[in-house]
Amino acid sequence: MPDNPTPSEQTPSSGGYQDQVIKGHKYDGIREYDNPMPGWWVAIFWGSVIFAGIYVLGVHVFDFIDTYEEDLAESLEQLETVRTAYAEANPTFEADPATLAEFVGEEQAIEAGAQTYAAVCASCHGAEGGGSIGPNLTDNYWVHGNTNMDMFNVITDGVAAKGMPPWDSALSPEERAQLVAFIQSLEGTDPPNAKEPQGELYE
Amino acid sequence: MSTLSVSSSAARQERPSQVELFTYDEQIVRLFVLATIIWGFVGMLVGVIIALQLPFPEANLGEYLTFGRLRPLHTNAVIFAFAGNAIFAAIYYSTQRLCKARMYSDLMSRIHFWGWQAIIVSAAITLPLGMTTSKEYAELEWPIDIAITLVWLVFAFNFFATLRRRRERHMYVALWFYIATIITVAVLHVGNSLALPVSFMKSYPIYAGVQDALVQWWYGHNAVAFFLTTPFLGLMYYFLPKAANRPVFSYRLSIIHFWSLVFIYIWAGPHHLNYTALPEWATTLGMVFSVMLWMPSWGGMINGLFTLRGAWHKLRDSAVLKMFVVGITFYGMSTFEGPLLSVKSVNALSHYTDWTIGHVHSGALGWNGFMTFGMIYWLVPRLWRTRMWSDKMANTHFWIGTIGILLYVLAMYTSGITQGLMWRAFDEAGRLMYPDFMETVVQIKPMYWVRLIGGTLYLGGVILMMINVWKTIKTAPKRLPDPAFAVPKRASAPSDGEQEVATA
Ligand code: HEM
Ligand code: HEM
Repeated sequence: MPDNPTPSEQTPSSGGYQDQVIKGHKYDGIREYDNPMPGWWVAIFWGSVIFAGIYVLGVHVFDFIDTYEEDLAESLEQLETVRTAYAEANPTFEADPATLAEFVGEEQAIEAGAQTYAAVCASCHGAEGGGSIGPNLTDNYWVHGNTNMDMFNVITDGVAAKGMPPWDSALSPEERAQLVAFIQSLEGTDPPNAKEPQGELYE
Repeated sequence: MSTLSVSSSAARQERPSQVELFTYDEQIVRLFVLATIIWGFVGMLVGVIIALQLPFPEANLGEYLTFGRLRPLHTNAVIFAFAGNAIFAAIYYSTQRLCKARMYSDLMSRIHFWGWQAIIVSAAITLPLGMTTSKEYAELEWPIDIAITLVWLVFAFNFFATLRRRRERHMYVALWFYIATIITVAVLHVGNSLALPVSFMKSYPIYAGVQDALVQWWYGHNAVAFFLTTPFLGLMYYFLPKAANRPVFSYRLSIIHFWSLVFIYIWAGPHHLNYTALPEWATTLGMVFSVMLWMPSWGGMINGLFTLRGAWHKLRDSAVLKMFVVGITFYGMSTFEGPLLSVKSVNALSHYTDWTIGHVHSGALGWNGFMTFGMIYWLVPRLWRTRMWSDKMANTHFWIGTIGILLYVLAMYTSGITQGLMWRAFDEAGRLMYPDFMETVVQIKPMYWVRLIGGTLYLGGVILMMINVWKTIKTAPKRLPDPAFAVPKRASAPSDGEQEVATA
């Protein structure tokens, strides 16, 4: 009696393999075929070994693949180009009481400030400015002063001790000035569920 | 009992005058199977809870039931309790049959079983209490680590003593995978857990800084390799040809992919530390070994799927084979994805994102989960000598489980790639487009809900399996004596020579 499967078990789907059962290999009824390893499998395996060799040599010996440092330097350089080009096209903005005053009360600035506010500030200061993690921005009480310049500085530098992040790298000076305009426009709106006053009263 | 029937050629054999009688310990396998199912349910329930806590923070209850405390409980429960008990069930069932020998010591088997369950219970208590080494997948504190080592040594001794007493000359490939598992896990666990205790439940690793990180991921990666991969390949090599009743596709492939897999896996750990303080040459090593790992992994997939050549029609009626096929396919996908993720430029996008979570669960839910379920549906009627209570329910499990995996992984790929792209986006002024982490969270929140639905479906499948197994066991005969066999009393007995003398 051969160990091979009966003809009915030999199916056309054997895919070109001989399907010869190995004699003596029968483990709790499990048999094994003597088929070769698929050619594509062997080829890709060798391919990956060759790739590995080339990659190691490329990064660490012949330097035709970037190292981390080279990669980082290149990206920083690209970023610098973008930043310089942008700075040239958009003359810098010097925040001082006079320029800020041009924003405050300005319809377009308030509108733009509202959008930035909803995206970055609302999660801590409340959607309507009534405060939650951060203080209420609609009342007359201020922890760090109530002039346009005071607000601009708090937005720019943050208040590390209280968890307010600095926004100087994330928001442009115009965006920060628009925020000042928006916040000044909130005064006295008294939204529902506003937070209790914090800081000093400014009349 | 089809599996235990007298082999056809035995009739040709002369009845030897001197015979050796032996039995298989099936009770220990039943215990491990039940533990697998129960812990699988617990671990995945915790998975669903933490999946809810991410989009719905209100579900973080008190101090002990917060995401930070429950996440390690989830990973420990699904890996060491669910997958762990599953591979022990597979090993205890198949090793005895592949060796034609009962386990060396029933007592050691019991110590292994109860010791392991005690370790799991202690993990379930200490982790929510916040007692942790904070090393991922090795969070348990030093007294529990010592217990793990001792129980594992008992298991190893029992296993190797059984191998020594085997009545089969050759060792089938499944056994090689078990050997690799048992030896390597012992080395990994001890190596990574070396620590100086400062009090009863607190210790500090003997490694510091980047060395600690490297040891941790040498361990972490090889936990995937030797806890979630090699024992499951052994499981596949035994249960798949059994269930399909087909010879294994290629013996040669099984040798080559076994040795290449175990050799290459060990070096790939640094791919978890790309772009960190680890020197770049080490991450290069991790990356290229990961790429070379692709085909050794696929060797297992090929040997699994090609074994089914000519048996594909059997899939229609067999939930077991359907589970195996989907399991092996997910194994193939996650072991293609893994090498891809290890490539530095891809990892620059994927690292720290949900893409990793998607990758993990395509392996965990697809490969570990479905191979385990397939094995359970094959084993339960045999161990309890009856029929599965409901084949329809098993099929339903298969389908909702598959849909659950797809929802889970597709949601995580979407959210992972979204996170990765948002984190690296710059605007026209050269500033970060989304400097506020919250913006990415808001963006991916819907995907967290989709993942929750997927996970709940998957858990629903597990609940169906619990009911089905429970009902099946209730129809089992009262007495389940161990199956007994006889072989001629000669050291080099031909493997066909066994005679069954008694079954249930
Ligand atoms: C119902 C099924 C499951 C659900 C809903 C689920 C859910 C989760 C969640 C929400 C996380 C945390 C992800 C994060 O931190 O962002 C997680 C992590 C994890 N889960 Fe699951 N899980 C399930 C099943 C499994 C199974 C069966 C396994 C293993 C066999 C597994 C292994 C893991 C691992 C290893 C991690 C950590 C991943 C990492 O740190 O990268 N899970 N799971
Ligand atoms: C050829 C095989 C594989 C390779 C090369 C591989 C590679 C990787 C890579 C590169 C990562 C991401 C590391 C990071 O960015 O942090 C990863 C994470 C992970 N993989 Fe795989 N993977 C493979 C197979 C698998 C399989 C089959 C499973 C599960 C059964 C698995 C489970 C995990 C887990 C749990 C993590 C998360 C680790 C963590 O950060 O907590 N992997 N893998």
